[in-house]
This record gives sequence, C-alpha cells and structure tokens, in this order.
Amino acid sequence: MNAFSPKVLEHFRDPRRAGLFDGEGLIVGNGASGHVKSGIRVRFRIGLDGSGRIARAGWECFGCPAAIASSDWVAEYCEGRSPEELSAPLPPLVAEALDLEPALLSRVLVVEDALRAALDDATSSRMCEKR
Amino acid sequence: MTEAPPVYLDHAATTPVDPAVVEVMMRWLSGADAMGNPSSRGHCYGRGAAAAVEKARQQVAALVGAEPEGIVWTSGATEANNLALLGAVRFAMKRGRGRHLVSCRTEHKAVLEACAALEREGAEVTLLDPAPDGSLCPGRVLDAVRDDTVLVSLMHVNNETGVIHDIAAIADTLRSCPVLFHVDAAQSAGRLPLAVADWGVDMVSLSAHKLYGPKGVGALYVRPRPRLRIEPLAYGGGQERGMRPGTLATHQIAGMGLACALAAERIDTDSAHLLAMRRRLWDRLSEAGGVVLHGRWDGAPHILNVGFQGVHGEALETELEDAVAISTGSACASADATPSHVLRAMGVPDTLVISSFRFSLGRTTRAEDVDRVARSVLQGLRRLRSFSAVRGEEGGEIGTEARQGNAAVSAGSKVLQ
Repeated sequence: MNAFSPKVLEHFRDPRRAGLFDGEGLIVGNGASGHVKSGIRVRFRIGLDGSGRIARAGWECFGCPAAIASSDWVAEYCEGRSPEELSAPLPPLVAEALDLEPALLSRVLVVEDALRAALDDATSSRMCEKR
Repeated sequence: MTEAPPVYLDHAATTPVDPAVVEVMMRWLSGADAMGNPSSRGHCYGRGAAAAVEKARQQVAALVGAEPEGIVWTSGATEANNLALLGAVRFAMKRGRGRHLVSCRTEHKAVLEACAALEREGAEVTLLDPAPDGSLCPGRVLDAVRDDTVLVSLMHVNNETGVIHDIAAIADTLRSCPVLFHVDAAQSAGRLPLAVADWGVDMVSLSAHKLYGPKGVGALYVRPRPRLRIEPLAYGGGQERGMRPGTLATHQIAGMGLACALAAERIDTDSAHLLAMRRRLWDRLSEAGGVVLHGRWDGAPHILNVGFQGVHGEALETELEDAVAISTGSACASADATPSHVLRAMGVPDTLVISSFRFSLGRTTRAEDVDRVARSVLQGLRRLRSFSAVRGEEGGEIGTEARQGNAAVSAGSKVLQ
C-alpha cells in the first residue's frame, strides 16, 4: 500500500523546510490550500529579501507522505528564485524530482495553490511597502 | 532500538496459525492414510477422512453452542455470508415468500455487497444506521421488519471497531416474527461466548483464520431442526446436504476443527489477556492527547479503533511501518481505497476517519509489544503534528477559507492568526 518512492520517503522522513519560520527582516507572504476532509491541507510561508528573491520558504502540511514530501521539495526549490522564475507549473517538476506516480499528482496541485497564494500575498505586501 | 520485526497488531485481519493446527493439517495432507475423499464411504481411507471431518464438525459446533449437523463447510466467512444471504433470499423469492432483508450500514462488505447483488435481482434491502457509538437497538431492528421480510443479517462483532451487537437480545426480539436471523460471527467466535442454538439464531458465519486456524476454510451454520432450506450457490455431488457441494478439504477442515477446540479451551484466559493489553494500549496512546476512541469501551477485547487528530492516517502508517503492522481507516495511495464505511456510518467526520487506525491484538501480544508500539506512535505523532497544518479540536479546519472546494486558496496572513 505504501508504494512511495525512496525520494518521497527521504523528504517525508527528514524534511528540510518544515514549519513556518519567523520572517523578521523579510517581506513575508502566507498562503493555504486544501481541506482536511479531502485528505490534504497545506500552509506555505515565503520570505522575500530586498532584491525580491525568495530567501526562505516553509510549510505546514496535513496529508499523506507524498503531500508532505511535495511541500518540502517545493519549499526547497523556491529558495533563491524570484516569483517570476516560479511561473511554470510545478507538478511536472515535482513528479520528476520525487518519482511521483500520476495518481499522487493531485497533492502537488494543492501544494502549488498554497505556494501561489503565499507568493501573491508577499507580492502585494511588497507593493504596499514600495508605495 | 535493534531491528526487531514490526509488532503484528492486525489480528482482526488474520491470525497466525497455531503450531498444533499446522501439525494436524500436515497429518491430513501427508499421512499414509490421508488421501481418502471423505465422501468415499466404501473404503477405510474415505472413512478415515470422513471421521476427521465429523470430529471437526463437533469441535466447531461446540465452540459456538450449535448442533454439529448444522455446520456446512465453506471457503471462509465471505462465502458463508454469501451463501446465507443469497441462499435464503433467493429460496424465498422463488417461492413468493417475501423479498425484503434487513441489515446494517456497518456490516462487512461480504454482507453489504451480497445485499447489493440481491437488490439487482429484485430484492429490497433496508440498511439500518447505527448509533454514533456503533451500537444497534434491538427495537429498531424489529421496526424495520415488514410482512415480506425474509432475513435479518447482523454481525456479532464489528471487524473495524469491535462494537458488539447484542445478538441474544435481537434474536429474542425477532422471535415473534417469522423472519430468519443470520449472524456473521467471524470476529467473535473464539473471543466471546456464543450460544447459537439457545439464542435461536438461524444461520451463523464462521472463519478459521480469525481464530488461529488456516485461511481458506470457514463454515455456515444452518439450523438443522426444524430444517432450514436455502438455495445453494453451486451445484454438484450433494455434499453438505446439497447446500455446498464439492469435495471436502480434509486438512483445512481438520485444521479449523482443532483451532476451534483450542479457542474453546482458552477463551477465558485469552479474552482476559486481550482486555488487559487493550487497556494498556489505550492508556499509553491517550497520553498523546487528541486521541479519539471509535466504538465502545465494552467492545470485543481484541480491537481498539482510534483517531489521532491532526495527522493523516497514511503519514502515520508510513512513519510506523518498521514498528507495527496495523490497519488504517483510509489509504489514498492505492487507487481503489475509500475511507472506512463503518466509521462514516457511525457519523465520524471524514477529517477524523482519515486519521483513524485499527489496532487488533492477539493471543501472543505481549505487554512489551504494546509498549513498543505506543512509544512509536507517540513519537510519530509528535513529529507529524509538529508540522501539521491542522491543530483543531476536531482534527478539522483552522482559519477561514476564501473559497470552498478542493482547490480553495486563502491568501493572506489571516490564516495564521
């Protein structure tokens, strides 16, 4: 039943970006997606530095190992990139990186939604700050 | 911790075969006189095998308080349930003696799917809703009985929650109506006392592998006096009073017989042990907080079904796979899995159904096994909860959603407050 790939298990057992960091000195954006009753709930937080790049990303996730691993991989992938560099759809990237079977890709959509919401949140905060 | 194999706490799924049972099965597989067909009464080989089958019949009947001549061998409880439901309802429908049956939403799939099959053949099915604790009031069963009701089918012990239906009381209530009463006792036989004949139950399903016997053999008790007639599922050489033809599997049957005899001997010590282990497991697990019992305290001694708020069942299952073998309420990685219909029927919210586990204990479960499992669960819970997006009382939602639906996105820091 637990036919998760070794890469999924690696991120599940030893996540690098778990938890919501304290974003002092960064422009922070928060986003959430999913429903517990549908088996996945993800919260994302990203912190932009002065240059507009993502300096930190963190997550909280209620979900199966694939959901947790996807959250962690996406958070790691974000760091050092600008929001514009993340405009391509994430599921194909995550699927390849984690050897996800197609049935599990719906989890990645929820993770992506949470990330995009956090990006939007941060971008609008940044606009306010500039003004 | 050294690499000890995972603790097996899935005894409600199946039990290890008792070594003495293996021995008697081997005797009827490889013994010099074991080749006879129990139906071949003309020679000593056949008669020997037949005697072994009859001895097993006595042993099985004795365990559940039934007449031995009522025991019909089957391949297991699934076949027994199908034979009981399809056999009794088809028999009645063919003769215009009714076409309605009553069962409950928390029944095993072998009963629910047989009900669905009968519906396709023109029968009508009433599925009762259990109380939130999984129990069923005998009066409600009686209320569901109509003039054209052929059969009431209820399980003794629920395989997921361990909740016990009061079969004696329900049988008593039904005594006034001319309906048949079938009981799936696969989980209860050998763990709770049964008195089939005294209770006045008409049919009972039994399985060997739930009570330390082999897989692939079970029995349906069909009341012999007054003779209850049912339609067979298959046709052949007339074995088992025509209800279940086919050459009897002497070794399987002898194995089931001995397993039942051993269970009858140990039923008191076994259930005292199971109760103590279940209590211990609950005490240890509940230290975690946010642990919800599904079912009732007075349930069967071997099953503990709990929900762990804030963690996904599959995540915890993966976390625990080196420590313990258990069953989860849901499995989203496998395509065909759906959340437990039993917990849903009891009204457990979906949020908690997907965080639920069934621990089922056995004869050989030791206190240190329970402690090891509980330690692993507590550890896993702590880790998974440390980054869970859910910390609500009900394992439910926190924060407000901008939109409802699967892809709902709520932007903004308000979610985190």
